[in-house]
Amino acid sequence: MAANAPILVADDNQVDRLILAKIIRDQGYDVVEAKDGEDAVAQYKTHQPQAILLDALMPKMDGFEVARIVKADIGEAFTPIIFLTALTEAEELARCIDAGGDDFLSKPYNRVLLKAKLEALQRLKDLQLTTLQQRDSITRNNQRLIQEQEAAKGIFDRIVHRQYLDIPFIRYLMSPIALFNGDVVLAAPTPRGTYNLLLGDFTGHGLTASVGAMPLAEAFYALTNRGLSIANIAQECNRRLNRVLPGGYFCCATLFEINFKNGTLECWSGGLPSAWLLPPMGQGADAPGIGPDVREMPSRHLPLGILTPDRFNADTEHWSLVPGERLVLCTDGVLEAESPAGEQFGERRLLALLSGERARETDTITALKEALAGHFGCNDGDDDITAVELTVISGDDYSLVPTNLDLEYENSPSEWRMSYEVADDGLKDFAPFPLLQRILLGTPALRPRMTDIGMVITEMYSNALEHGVLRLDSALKRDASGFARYYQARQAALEDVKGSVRFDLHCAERDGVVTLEIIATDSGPGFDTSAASPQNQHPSEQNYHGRGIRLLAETCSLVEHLDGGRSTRVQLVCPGNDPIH
Amino acid sequence: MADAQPAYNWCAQEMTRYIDEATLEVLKEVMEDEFSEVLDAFIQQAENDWPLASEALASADLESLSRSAHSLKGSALSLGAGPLSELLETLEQEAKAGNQSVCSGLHAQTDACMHETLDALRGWAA
Repeated sequence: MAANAPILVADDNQVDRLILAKIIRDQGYDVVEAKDGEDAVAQYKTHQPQAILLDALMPKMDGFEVARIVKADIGEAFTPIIFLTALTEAEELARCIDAGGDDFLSKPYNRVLLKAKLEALQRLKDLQLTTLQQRDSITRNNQRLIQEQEAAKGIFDRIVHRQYLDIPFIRYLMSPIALFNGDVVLAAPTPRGTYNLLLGDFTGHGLTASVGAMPLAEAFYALTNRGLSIANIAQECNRRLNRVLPGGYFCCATLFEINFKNGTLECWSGGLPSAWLLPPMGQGADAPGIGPDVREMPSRHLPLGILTPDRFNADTEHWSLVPGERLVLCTDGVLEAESPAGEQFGERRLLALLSGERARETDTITALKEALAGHFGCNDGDDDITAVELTVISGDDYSLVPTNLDLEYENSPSEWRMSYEVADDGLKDFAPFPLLQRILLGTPALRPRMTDIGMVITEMYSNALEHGVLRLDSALKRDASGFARYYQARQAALEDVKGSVRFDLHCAERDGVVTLEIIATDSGPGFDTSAASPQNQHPSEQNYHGRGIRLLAETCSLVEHLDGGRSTRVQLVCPGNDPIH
Repeated sequence: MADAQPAYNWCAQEMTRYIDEATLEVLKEVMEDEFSEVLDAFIQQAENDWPLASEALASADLESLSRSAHSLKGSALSLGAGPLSELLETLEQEAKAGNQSVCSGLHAQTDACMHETLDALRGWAA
C-alpha cells in the first residue's frame, strides 16, 4: 500500500466528517469520505486507504460489520481502524475491538490527540511492514539456500561418481541429504585390478562438512586412478584436509583396497566405528555370535585432517578374504540413532544384529533397516545413517566390473626398454605401478591390458620385496591370524631395509603383435625355484601364499624364475593375439 | 487508549448558556475557513432531521427517533452544544428503551433547547 494512500473517514454525520477531514488534511494526509457503511466498504475497495476512521452507528451497514469486512480483506497488510465512539459503555468498546478496531476516538475531536494516534498507528504499520519484509526476505534466503544446496549436491554427485557404488557387490544406505550430514561414500576401481572404498564422516553438519568432502573426493579419485596405495591415499587425504579444515573439524574415515583376485584386503582406519567381516549369507557358526567367522576391524588411527603430514601414521592392516564374505561398516549415526524414548541404538544392538541370525539370512543393509525401523518405531528415522556392505566376489566376477580410468598420457613407440631400480630407504613406501604406468600408457597396444599389467607388476614387486629382500616366510599366510602377523613382520622389516628391487621392461612389436616383457630382480639370496614354479602349483590350492604365483600364471603367457630365484621374468601379449586370453 | 472526556468549561454568561464558547473557539481555530461550513452543516442537519424526529415520535416510530437523536447528538457535541447533546442523549436512550411517554415529555424540552441553541449559533456565526 502506498505511503500516500488516503485516510478513509466513514461517518453519517456531515458535521463530524467535515471536522475530521479538516484535521486529517492539516496533518498532510489525503482524505476520502463515506456517508454510510456500504459506502465505506466501497471506498475502502476503491482507495485502499492507509487507515480508517469509522463511526460505529451508521445507516445501511454499521461500523462493526464494515470493520469485519475490511479486516477479512486486508490479508497481510496493516490498515488500522479507529472507531469514532463515545467512551461510555464497556460492552460497546469490546464490540469495536472484537470487530477488529485498533483504537478509539471520542468527541469533541481533539486534533493533537488524533495526530498522536495516527502517528502511533503509522509506527505500528511500519513495524508490521518491516516484519513482513523480513519474513519475505527470510523466505527468499531460505529458498536460495535450498537451491544452492541442491546445486552443490548436484556438483558433488558428479564428483563422487556414484556408478562405482551402484554395482552388484555393494549395498549401501545413505540419506539423500547425507552430504549435508557430513557423510561420504567413495568407491572406484584401481588400475591394478583392485577396488578402493572409502567411508567418511565429517564432524559437524552443513557447509563445512560438504566443503571438506570436495578435496577428500578429489584426492581419493585422483590417487586411486593412478594406482597409488591406500597408505598414499590416506596420507594425501589427511594432508589436504589438514590444510583446508578449520581447527576442531576433521573426518573420521576408513579406506579399503580390496583385491578380489588375491582375496585380500588392505585397510586404513581412523576414527569410525569398527568395520566387520561377516560370513557369507546363509553360512556361519551353528550358534550365532561373535566367533572366528565374525571378524572385527577396529579403528587404529586418529581421523583424517587432525595431524600434520609429518606426524600422520599411514600404517595399514591386511586381511584375508573368503568369497561370499561381507565387509560391513557404518558411521556413528547408526550407533547414535535415537528411539522416540531417547535411547541410542548403540554398539550392543549393532553387534547383536551383525552376529545374529537375521544377518545370516539376508544382507546386512536390509537387516539394519529392519532393526532401525524397530528401534525408531517407524520407517522414516534413518536420515542421519550411512552404512555400506561389500560382498567379496571372485576375481573373475570382479573383472566384469567396467572400469573407466580417466588418465592422461602421450603416445610413444611400441619398441622400447627401460630399467628402474629402487634401493634401501626407497623401498619403505614404494609402489612401482603408479610410476611405471605413465610410461606403459604411452604404448597404445598396452592400454587394454593395463589392469592386468598393474596386477602383475604389483605382484612381482611384492614377491621381490617380501621374499627376496625382506626374506619373509610366505607360509605364515596360511591362516587369518598368520596373515596379520605376516604384515606386521613386513612392516617391522621395512624399518631398516637394505637391498634393492629392479624392474627391466622391454616392449617389442613383431608382426603387429606387441609383447611386454617384465623382469623383476631383487638383491636377496634367491630360492629353490623348483618348489615355487607355477607348474607345481595345484589350481585348487587355496593357501594364501600360493595365490600370487597362480595369478601370474593365469595372466601371463610366460612366467619363469631366473638366476636362482633372484629374478622373475614374465611376458604379456596384447589382446586379440594373446594365446591365453 | 481511553480518550479522557474533556470537562465542559461552562461560561456563566447568558449568551453562552447553550454553547461552550471554548469548544467553539478551538473548533474555529481548527477549521479555519471551513468553520462557517461546519456551522451551516449543523444548522441544516437540525432543520432537516429535527422535524423528522418529531414526526417519528408522533407516529410512535421510536427506532427512527432514537437514530435521529443519536446523529444530532453527535453533531451537537462536536460544536460544544452541551445541554442540547445531553437532552438528545437522554432522548436517544429513552427511545431505545421504548418509553414513549418519557420521550414525549423530553421532546418538548429538547425542542425548546434546540431553538435556543440554533439561535445562539446563528448569532455566534454573525
